[in-house]
Amino acid sequence: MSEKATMQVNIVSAAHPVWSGEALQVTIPASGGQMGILPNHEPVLTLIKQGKLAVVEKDGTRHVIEVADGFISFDSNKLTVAVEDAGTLKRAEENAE
Amino acid sequence: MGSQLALKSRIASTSSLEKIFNAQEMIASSHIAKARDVALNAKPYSDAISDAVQALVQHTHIDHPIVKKSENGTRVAVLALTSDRGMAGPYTSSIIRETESLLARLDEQGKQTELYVYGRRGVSYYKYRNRDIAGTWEGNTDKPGVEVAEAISKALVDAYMKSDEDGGVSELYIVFTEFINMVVQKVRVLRMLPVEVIADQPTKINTDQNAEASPLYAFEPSVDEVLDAILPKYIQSRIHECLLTAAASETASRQNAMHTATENARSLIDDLTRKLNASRQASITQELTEIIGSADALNKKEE
Repeated sequence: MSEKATMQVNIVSAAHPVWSGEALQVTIPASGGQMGILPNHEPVLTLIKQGKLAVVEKDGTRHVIEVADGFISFDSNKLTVAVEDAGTLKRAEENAE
Repeated sequence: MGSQLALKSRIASTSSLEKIFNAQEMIASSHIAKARDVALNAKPYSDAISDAVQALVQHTHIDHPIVKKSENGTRVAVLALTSDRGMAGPYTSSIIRETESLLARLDEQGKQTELYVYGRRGVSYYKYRNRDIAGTWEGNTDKPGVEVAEAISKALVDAYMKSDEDGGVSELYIVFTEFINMVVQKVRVLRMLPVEVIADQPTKINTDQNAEASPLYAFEPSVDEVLDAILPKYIQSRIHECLLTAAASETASRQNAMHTATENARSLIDDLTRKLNASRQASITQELTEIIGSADALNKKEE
């Protein structure tokens, strides 16, 4: 079991679900500044402001998505991102590793 | 002969009506699939918000006006969800009936009511009767988007957050139609504000560690700010949910009404066709008897 720990990520906007899957790392534009979340983070509920949310998938692919006005909650290794408005998921050029 | 022509034109007009009803029915049934998709798409978001509120309830002591407000306020808001278009059977009329009885009940309790209406039919009903309406929204009642839910919840939460002296309301009721299945839709009255949050009983897994685990939940930037941001969103998603169920009910109700109308038109056509055939047969028989009778009379004279 040398695989890296992952967490379940679920991104939803008010109108429709955006993305869900396993991820190694997620960076969110939290109200107090950028915030990185790794698997097994402590339970947290944070508001987010307008900005870019980045997800690093299990295979190292990095996705970036515009989000505005919402919150994230992390509990039992499950990250839920709920936003009013979300752009479309874009694949970032650089890889995480 | 005249009656035959009349019957024929009635059959023609009824059958064109039947085509319209049938088309409406098919349109409604295609909209149901769409309404279901929209509702399913919005579900994860409202689930996420409910979960977050649930977490807040379990880990903090909520003391926010949205959850608690003095219930002895004199003003109460009522939101009625009606449809934009007719041809939906008793959909709008049963909502209006329920709204009226709710308003009467609240009046009896000595409360002052403020009426908010969504849907063109309801708005025109109350405008025609010169009733004071605090706010109206129109358009897209069969596929309400997030924008409508946002506008409605903003207006209502604003009215709710105002203090009693400024004309704020202390309670909010929503009258909407619940979608039970394709055939059954039920009008329901829901008290939306103040919110009654019921904490899940900490059963199974959590029981042991919960006592220590719960304070670990971190709220950033602070509990109060999180509450201020999330509770209005919770209201909005609840209202959106109501709008979506109402939309599904409206479409189903319209489909049912149009189905009945199509069947009625068909049986009317059958009836009229039978009458037309009978009258045609009667006129043929009459003509034959006339010809035979006159021919007989001529033959008799020659003999």
